[in-house]
Amino acid sequence: MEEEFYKIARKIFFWFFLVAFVVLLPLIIFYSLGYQFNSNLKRFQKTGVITIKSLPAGAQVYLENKKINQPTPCDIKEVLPGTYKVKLEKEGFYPYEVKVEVKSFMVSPLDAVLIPKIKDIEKIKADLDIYKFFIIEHLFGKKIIAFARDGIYVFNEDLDEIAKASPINLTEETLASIKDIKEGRNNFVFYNQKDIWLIDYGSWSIKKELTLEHIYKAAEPIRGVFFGFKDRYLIIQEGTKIIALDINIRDNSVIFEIYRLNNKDSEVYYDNSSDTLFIKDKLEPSRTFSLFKINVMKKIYEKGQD
Amino acid sequence: MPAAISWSIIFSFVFLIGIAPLWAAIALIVYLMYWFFRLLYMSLLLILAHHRMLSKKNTNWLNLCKKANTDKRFEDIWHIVLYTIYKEPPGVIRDSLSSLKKVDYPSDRLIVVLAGEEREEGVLEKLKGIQKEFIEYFKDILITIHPKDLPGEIASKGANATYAARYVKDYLKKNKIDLGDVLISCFDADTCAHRQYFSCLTYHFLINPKRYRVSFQPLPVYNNNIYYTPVFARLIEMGSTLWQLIESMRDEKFVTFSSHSMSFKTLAEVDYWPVDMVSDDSLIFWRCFLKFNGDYSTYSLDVPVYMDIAVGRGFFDTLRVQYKQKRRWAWGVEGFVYLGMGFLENNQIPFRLKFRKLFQILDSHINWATWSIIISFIVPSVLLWTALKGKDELIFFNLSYINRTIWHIFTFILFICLLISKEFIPPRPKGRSRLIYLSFVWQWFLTPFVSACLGSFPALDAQTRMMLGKKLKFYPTPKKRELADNIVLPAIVK
Repeated sequence: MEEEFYKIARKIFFWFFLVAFVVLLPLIIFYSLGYQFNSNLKRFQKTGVITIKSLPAGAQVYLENKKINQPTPCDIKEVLPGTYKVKLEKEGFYPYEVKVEVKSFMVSPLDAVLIPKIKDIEKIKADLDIYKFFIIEHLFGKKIIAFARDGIYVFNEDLDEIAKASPINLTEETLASIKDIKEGRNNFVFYNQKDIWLIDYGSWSIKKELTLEHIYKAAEPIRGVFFGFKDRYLIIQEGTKIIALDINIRDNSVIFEIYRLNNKDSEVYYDNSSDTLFIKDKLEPSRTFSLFKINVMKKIYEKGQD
Repeated sequence: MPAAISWSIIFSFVFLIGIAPLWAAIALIVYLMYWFFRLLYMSLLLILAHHRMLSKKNTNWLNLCKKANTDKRFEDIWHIVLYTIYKEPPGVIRDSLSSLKKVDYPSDRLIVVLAGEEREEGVLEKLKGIQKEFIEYFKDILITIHPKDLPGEIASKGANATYAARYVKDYLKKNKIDLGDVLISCFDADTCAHRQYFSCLTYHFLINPKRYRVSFQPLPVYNNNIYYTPVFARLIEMGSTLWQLIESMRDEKFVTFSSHSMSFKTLAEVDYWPVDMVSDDSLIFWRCFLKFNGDYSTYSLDVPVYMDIAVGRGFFDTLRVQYKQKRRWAWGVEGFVYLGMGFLENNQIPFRLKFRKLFQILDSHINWATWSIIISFIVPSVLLWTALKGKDELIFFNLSYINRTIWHIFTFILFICLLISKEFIPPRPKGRSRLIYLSFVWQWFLTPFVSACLGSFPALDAQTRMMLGKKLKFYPTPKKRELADNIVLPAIVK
């Protein structure tokens, strides 16, 4: 009796699944291709799909002003070919509206990044009189260097003050004239057209109280500063000169002119990772600028072998 | 032919995606839908089989034997328990005999045969030692040593078992025992019988009016060394057990596998197991099927036998051992050729039945060799390819959706497998951390990868070798346990 039960149950399951497979398979293939049965028209129609993703997810979707029940990411299936207005709404973000063209048997993807409505500004320091600020990208995060009347501040990404150089004895004009900042291994330098200053962080962890040092006074306008040679040197483009300054020798006694540019509008870029100097310059008799490259480290080795 | 079909299926998907992507997508949807329904069907069969197993768990088979009102008397039945042995450590054989002496069946009706191979050095001394140790618990323990390199034979379990069975026939005749009253159980050396195995077997033999036209198949549970094996080996063998459980529900497709039992009279009539083929366990069924013109079946017994998970010397060696063992199992596709040739010479079996049986072998072996490769590798590769190519056709989008659905169903089935597999996990031995149970759960998530590496790949390998006319040597799976010989694993104390 029991054996019969199992045999009958098995047969029922077998035939049920076989019939389901035979009946459903053509329907599923038709559906997969994009055919939809319209019960009103009593015929199959060709359709497409709109796939919608947004950053951040969870935006409300409207198709031709009709609310779609599922927030992003979602798929709107069984859409007849045509052009549709799709709107994404999320609280705290600007509405995102776009026209999407749907073709039969095709997927129309919509991948939107929503822009937030900014209401509050997070204050780093309300009472600071900031002249300039720079952001240094780090492997382990970012540092924000702010130049204020009473000192130079170093903030972390969470806007906590982690170090300060004060007093700095820089005039308002000087602070306003700072052109750029460059970070070395344990230090950073900043410069304007005439001067270069250096701030040392410390070897292991950032010192809370930093000291500002003036390390170079230029005779001609400084146009670019780079770290080089394992962060030991500063490569400075001063007018048409390119000089290398050993920053560990603070009296400027170790300084070399490594190249002289032919034109005052020439530009340089020093790649610290490969110690390569890239130069935009004019070489006589050419009247146009060309690009040049000097692998300085390679030169050192070549000269060393000589 | 099976290899040609398997490779054609795999390559047709690969080529089609390059030539006609749309048709490839349709073909994959058909394939996935087929597996969607097949997996659902199989999971229901698994649940049914499990239910049946549990419903008979507390049956007292010995009582039923004694009360059975048939033309045969329980008291007249003899059992030959034949262990084929090749290089198994004595501890493994001792464990098997220890479990045998604990069965509830009258021990004076059990005759044990230890069938050794001459190829194994010192086998006679090993078996004699075991014989001496266990002789008092059984009616008799016979030792046979199968000579090596007999003409017309390959070195296989079937050849050894046949040699031993011929010897047993003489022994039975000498002792005036009617072959019709004798049941023979051909066990691997590591097979530990359930306490009620012989009672259950005897009962079903007694009450079956076609008792000489049926083989009896216990559920092979690979768990003797389950706490000492790498996770992939455990998973694949647990999968084999659950697969056998599913197969046991499909009477008309059920074929003998590994350790099994049958009437000695029938065995002698079909001239025993094949001696020149690798898959003796399934071929003995097909041999009977041909001999009795299709009037032969396999009956699923409600009690299991416990066996070892094949292991090697380490992780990678176990992988090698498992691969070779599965390739040997997959060599069972030779049954297709054997049966096909047999059908040509047999006019008594109806064509419809012939076709069904051949299709049955072909279907199972081709699916074995292809399904996990297609589902685990080809479909994801096609989806990745379409994504990289930026294919915007809706059918690829829906293929991805159907594929996800299949994987959800698959996860659901794995959950069922996880619950059912609990039944086959023996008590945790001392010295094994409870944390091992966590691996018993997460192991199921390796199924797609393991079923491809130790399922489809060895099957495809076996089929390809056969197609290329290469021979497969019988690979005797190493039976090795982590513990010392004198320690009885808790798993066998059932």
